[in-house]
Amino acid sequence: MDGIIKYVFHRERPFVLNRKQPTETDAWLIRRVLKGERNAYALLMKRYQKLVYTIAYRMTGRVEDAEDLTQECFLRAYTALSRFRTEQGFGPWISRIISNLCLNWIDKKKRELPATDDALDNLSVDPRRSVETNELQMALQEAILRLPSRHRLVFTLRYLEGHDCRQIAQIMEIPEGTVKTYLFRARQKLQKQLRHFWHGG
Amino acid sequence: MAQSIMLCHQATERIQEYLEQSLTDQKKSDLASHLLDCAACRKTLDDMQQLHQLAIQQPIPQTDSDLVAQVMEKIQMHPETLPQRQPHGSLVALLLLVLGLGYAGLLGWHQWVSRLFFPVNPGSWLQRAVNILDDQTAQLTGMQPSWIWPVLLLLLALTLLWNHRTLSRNSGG
Repeated sequence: MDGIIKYVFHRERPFVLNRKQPTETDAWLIRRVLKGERNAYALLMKRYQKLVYTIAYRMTGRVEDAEDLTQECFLRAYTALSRFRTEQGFGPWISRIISNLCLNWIDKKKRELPATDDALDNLSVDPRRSVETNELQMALQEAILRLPSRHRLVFTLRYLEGHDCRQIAQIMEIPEGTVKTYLFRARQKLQKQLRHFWHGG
Repeated sequence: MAQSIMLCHQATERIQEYLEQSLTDQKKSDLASHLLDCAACRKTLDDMQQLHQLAIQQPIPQTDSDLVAQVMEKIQMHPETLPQRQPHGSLVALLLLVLGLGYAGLLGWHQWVSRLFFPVNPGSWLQRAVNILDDQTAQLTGMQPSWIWPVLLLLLALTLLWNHRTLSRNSGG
């Protein structure tokens, strides 16, 4: 009876806290956030910051844009957190949010500046690009930015977290066959663009 | 000649599927025998494998700014961006409360509850069913038969209400 009273009236429920594993999981952190502990969200963000930022960077090719989109993504995820379902996993869920944000961003950019290729212009002058990146990696990043946005997204998701086509299909909410087509076409285009690096000429 | 072009076209697809590890053994050996004869497709496979390796090793870009801190700041500054809550908790609690009180009334737990929910006698068949259910539970738990269900249901409802109140208070801003 004492335990029941404690469970009903005590905010820190002893039997939940005594279990060790749940404190580590994303689902546990999300529950804390939904109960009003905002700091738990900071922990969650730290876990997924790299993933979200890297997707945004590969899609936009610019540090500033990637930072803006990452922030926007985490804010959106925060407001929509109660709609998150544990069984789908936070990684795929947040990947879907940043993917859609990036695709919208690219579409908007295209509408605003149809003639210029902004991302590519900025790529070579960005001083914060890591210096150790060799020429080939640079060429790949440039070639990726030349891909159509959805092909670019599929390629990024494929190699970033090692997702397979089925997982990418779930993230992007498109059929698996379409993912495969996008990925194959992306690879073919990249191969064509990088061919002269490999075979000289 | 036409057949050869067709085969190369197929081989390019197969090479991609090979990289995705979705080739059956039969298709794999078909591809291997084509590659033996076709230098162009060997080159394609070579390129694709290089691309594969390059993409895997692509460096992760660094950011100087503390994005987590910036997002946290925005969250603190705009309390209206709080997670939207669904009122399921309180609805379930209300439902349980009504059920609990109804059941209590059925058992004549308190005169006022009885009058509230069952102004007329519920009838002997219902009373009998309730009695059977109650006796069984009483034997299992050792509680007073008429107390078991109302107490349990009210406790459950109270828990849910309390949870919901805590949630609303913490997120109310």
